Amino acid sequence: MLQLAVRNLWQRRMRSLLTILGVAVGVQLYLAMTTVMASAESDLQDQVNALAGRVFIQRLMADSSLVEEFPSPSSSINSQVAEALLDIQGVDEAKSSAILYVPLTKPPAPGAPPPTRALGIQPGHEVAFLGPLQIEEGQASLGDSQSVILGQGAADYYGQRAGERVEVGETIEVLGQAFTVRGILEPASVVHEGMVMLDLATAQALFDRPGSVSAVILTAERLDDLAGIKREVERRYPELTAATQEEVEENVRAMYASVYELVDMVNAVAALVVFLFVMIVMIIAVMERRRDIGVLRAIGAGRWTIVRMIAIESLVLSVTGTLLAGPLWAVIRIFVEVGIVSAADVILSHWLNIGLLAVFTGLAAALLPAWRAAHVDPLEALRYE
Amino acid sequence: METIVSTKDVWKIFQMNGVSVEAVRGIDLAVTPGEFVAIVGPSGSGKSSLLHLLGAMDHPTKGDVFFGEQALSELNDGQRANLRLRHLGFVFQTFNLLPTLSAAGNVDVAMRLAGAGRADRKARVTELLERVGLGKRATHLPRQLSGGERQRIAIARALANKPALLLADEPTGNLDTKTGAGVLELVRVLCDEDGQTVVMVTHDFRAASYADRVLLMRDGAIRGETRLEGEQDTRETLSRLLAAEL
Repeated sequence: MLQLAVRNLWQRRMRSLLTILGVAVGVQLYLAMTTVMASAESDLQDQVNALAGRVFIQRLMADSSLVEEFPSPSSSINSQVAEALLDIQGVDEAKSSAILYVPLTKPPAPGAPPPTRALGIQPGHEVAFLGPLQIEEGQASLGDSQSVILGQGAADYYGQRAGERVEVGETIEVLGQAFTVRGILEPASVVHEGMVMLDLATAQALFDRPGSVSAVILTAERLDDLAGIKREVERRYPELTAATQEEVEENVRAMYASVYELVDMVNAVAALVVFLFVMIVMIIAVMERRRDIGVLRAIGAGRWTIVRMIAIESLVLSVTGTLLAGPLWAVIRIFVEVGIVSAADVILSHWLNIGLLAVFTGLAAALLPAWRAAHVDPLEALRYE
Repeated sequence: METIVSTKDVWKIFQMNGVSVEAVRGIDLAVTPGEFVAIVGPSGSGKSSLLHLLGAMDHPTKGDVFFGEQALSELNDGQRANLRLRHLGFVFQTFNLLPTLSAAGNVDVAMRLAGAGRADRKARVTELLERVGLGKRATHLPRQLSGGERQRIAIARALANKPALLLADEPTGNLDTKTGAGVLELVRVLCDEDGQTVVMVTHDFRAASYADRVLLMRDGAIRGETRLEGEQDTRETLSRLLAAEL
């Protein structure tokens, strides 16, 4: 039956080829969406990992149900309150800091973080925001009020030309003021990638926010103290929101939930389109070959044999299209940069899913045409033209 | 008397636009092993409908068809397909070869359906193609073969699973006289040398003259029967007589 199925497809090779290409395009869409999702998940994990062992304090907008990222550009805390928070018992003051967070460029999409953003921090307390992240070039401390530490994305942004990035020791300009690049961060999450870290006091002056900060990051001296510090913050300042790593993760995941839903929906639509495409092609094939199928039935092929033949043809189309999607994806990757996760990693980690989906789609698409084929009356083979 | 296939008061009535058409009317028939039976009659006489009933491809409205002792009415669809596959061979007027398969592939497919092993299939395909005189045309597609060659391939396919009964529906209907005669001679040889049982329907008395027994059919019923014996010239004489009778 495999031989007959393949020959039937070969007989109509242009249609078969176009169908296979259609399947491959559908799988491309699935791969693209999967890459976006994997990239987002990886970024999320990096963000969460960088927040370990700390309490994040913000003053959010009146609508408490609003899920906000950390740090939120809309948050504002009085500097004196921030100082009082840093004095809470159990806080490791050297690893804690008030921060001022100001977007420097517009977000690429509503709800997305801006590509570059200024982050004012108390000099010597950089680790409060950087956490376990390392410096790739230069130093991890600001040193003076005219120095900055850049994330990789920000370094690219301030490069002289497209494809170049600014180097340690070079000068960048923020709101007309020159700063010397003192360090560049290793690749990290989207929050740290676009970071332009500078002295808090300088940032407050530069962005006209005297006496105000966006948030406070408190690191506990001992991990066991974390919950107690959080409770103390909430007791003293009920208007503030204090969140641990887990709560921030929960918030960020809630933010990403709609993205995941969208990706799942697009994947489902891609699978449905492939399913309908293959099914329509197979129905046409069955209609065209009623006589041949009738002959097979007349010479003794059972209904199940006919079903198998149609299912094999459908599977060959869907699986070949899926296999073709791999090399196609590699070619597309040459021209299009998708996310920070390697396409190969995505393909490998999702290969089983994609393979199973291809088999399932192929079989599902064969159901109706196979049923129609299995019910061809063998007498049709004997009806003269 | 042992029979390969028989019918008992078998009727086939079609409903066409609210009108009942009695294609087969109460036919009793018995075909014995090794016999070559021709059912001859004009178009619309019901001979093809009878052949479909004998070939387990259609259900009688009344009466029953027996393959050996087995009543076909007792078989479900799968069992009837299996009967067609393993015990019946079909030769059609329009050849009905699968266009995507070669001559050998068309013969092979019947054995594949029956689950025969690769080596057995290969040997049998070679044997059958030699038998029908097309050993050198094995790789040709149907469209690369003449009408007579296609019908020979169809005969080889019909014989692939060594059927007890070969059913032929106007096998020379699409062939010229000379090519048709070649095909009929081949069928005759199969009967004489292999003891193959054949039931053939035709409207051509010359074709019918190759049979051992000729049934004359008209208006859905068998109107006469003639047993033929002897050489070709005798057959031709008898065929003229049969024509006169009809």
